[in-house]
Amino acid sequence: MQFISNIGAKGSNVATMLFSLAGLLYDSLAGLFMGGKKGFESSIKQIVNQILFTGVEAFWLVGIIGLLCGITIIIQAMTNMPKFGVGEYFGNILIIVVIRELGPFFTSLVVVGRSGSALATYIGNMRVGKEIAALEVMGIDPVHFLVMPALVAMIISMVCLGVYFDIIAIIGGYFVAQATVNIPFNIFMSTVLDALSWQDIFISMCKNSFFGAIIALMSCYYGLNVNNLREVPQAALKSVVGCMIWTLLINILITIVFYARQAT
Amino acid sequence: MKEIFKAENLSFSYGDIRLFQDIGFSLGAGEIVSIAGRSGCGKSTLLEICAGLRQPGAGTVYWNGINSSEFTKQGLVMARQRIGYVFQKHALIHNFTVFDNIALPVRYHRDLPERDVRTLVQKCMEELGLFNVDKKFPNELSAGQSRCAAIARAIVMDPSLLFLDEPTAGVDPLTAEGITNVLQSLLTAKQMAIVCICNNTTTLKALKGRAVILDNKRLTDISPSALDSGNFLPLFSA
Repeated sequence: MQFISNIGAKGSNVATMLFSLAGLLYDSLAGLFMGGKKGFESSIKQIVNQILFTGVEAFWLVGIIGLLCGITIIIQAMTNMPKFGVGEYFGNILIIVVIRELGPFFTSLVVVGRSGSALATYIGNMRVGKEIAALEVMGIDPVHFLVMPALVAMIISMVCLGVYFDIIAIIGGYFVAQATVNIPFNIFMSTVLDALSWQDIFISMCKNSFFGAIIALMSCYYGLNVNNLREVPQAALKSVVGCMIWTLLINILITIVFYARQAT
Repeated sequence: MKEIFKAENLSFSYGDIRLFQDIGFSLGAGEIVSIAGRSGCGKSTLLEICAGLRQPGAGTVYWNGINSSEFTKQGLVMARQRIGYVFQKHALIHNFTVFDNIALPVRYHRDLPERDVRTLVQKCMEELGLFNVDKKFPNELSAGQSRCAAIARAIVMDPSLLFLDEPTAGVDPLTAEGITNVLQSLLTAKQMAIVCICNNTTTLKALKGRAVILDNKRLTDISPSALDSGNFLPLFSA
């Protein structure tokens, strides 16, 4: 009986969280599109700062992971695919693994670890320091001031980092292909580009946008729910775990919606 | 005189602990109410309720004659532009410079050119003796400077109602005197209504106006003689 009660309580918490996230999303979008020119202008500085932190400062880390990812995949493809008689399909493997799946997912991991936890801590500290209450008493909506810029910046950063990751992974793959089988750049690129469709690019960008939105909303949600200093590190931890779980779920959902049909 | 603020039959409890019950006060333009009381008696909670940051257990708060719980979202934003609040721990946005902190409500609510924003903010900073700190961040300021910056941010929109939570606590006597003088000029020149939490007898005397003690869940007036002598300890219950 206790077990069922616990499951019910957990389910209720998840439902409450989902409603709160939907509310945050709605309020942020309302602030973005109905806040007027003045409202948007006052948030530009916040958006730019968040893009600098989330996007620009993560370039080197995403670049290194992308390069290693591309190298690893091409090494595995070059060594194993010829055994099955499909050695010429390494371009497809690179596209399927990097652009469709690993690019958005690894990028989201980097952003969750760096920016998601930092955002939850930042907002949590603001709650504890009564800075959020100070915004409210000044007639400034904290969602418009903090969540909306984070949401916009996180989506822009994720899309840019995702594209950057894909490009670096393909370049890494080329270097390995060039070193192992001495493949010319134009042949490598034509193989990769032949395997790449507009749908792949669109879906990859969709995933990156959704992941960016999830990271921003969940980090802000946990940050805004902090009540005392002791809860700040817990908020960072919960945001990281929550973002990882939800990005994985959304990733699977998008993959099923767009690609599972092709299998049937 | 126009009534700027009124609190009616306010009650509040933290769990089973009742902080205050059926208390109220009102004030008009150019009036001040100073609230004293021992630590943990609920002064800051009362101030937060008065400013609409917290819901009371029972009772009503009126700003300019309007029930604060009946504002629409847009109405509340408009009403809050006419209210200033200074927190006990300044609550300046920590990644904004002092200048940007003070300019924040002006930039957000008013459609002023940046030159006018700068003039307005500089004037406020000078009034509070904040010189050469506009590019500093809150963590680079002394306690007194942080308090002055928070007051500057609260008054930059020229509010009709100002709430202050211990504005002179932890600051040197000279800065405290400066803050008191600014509050006096806000009362007389700008006819601001001020609710101020203050336990410092010197400041209480200097602010003049009505002084009350929150003790034993009730508000009790401090008599002018007790205020003059600076000895209102007997008003506290044992």
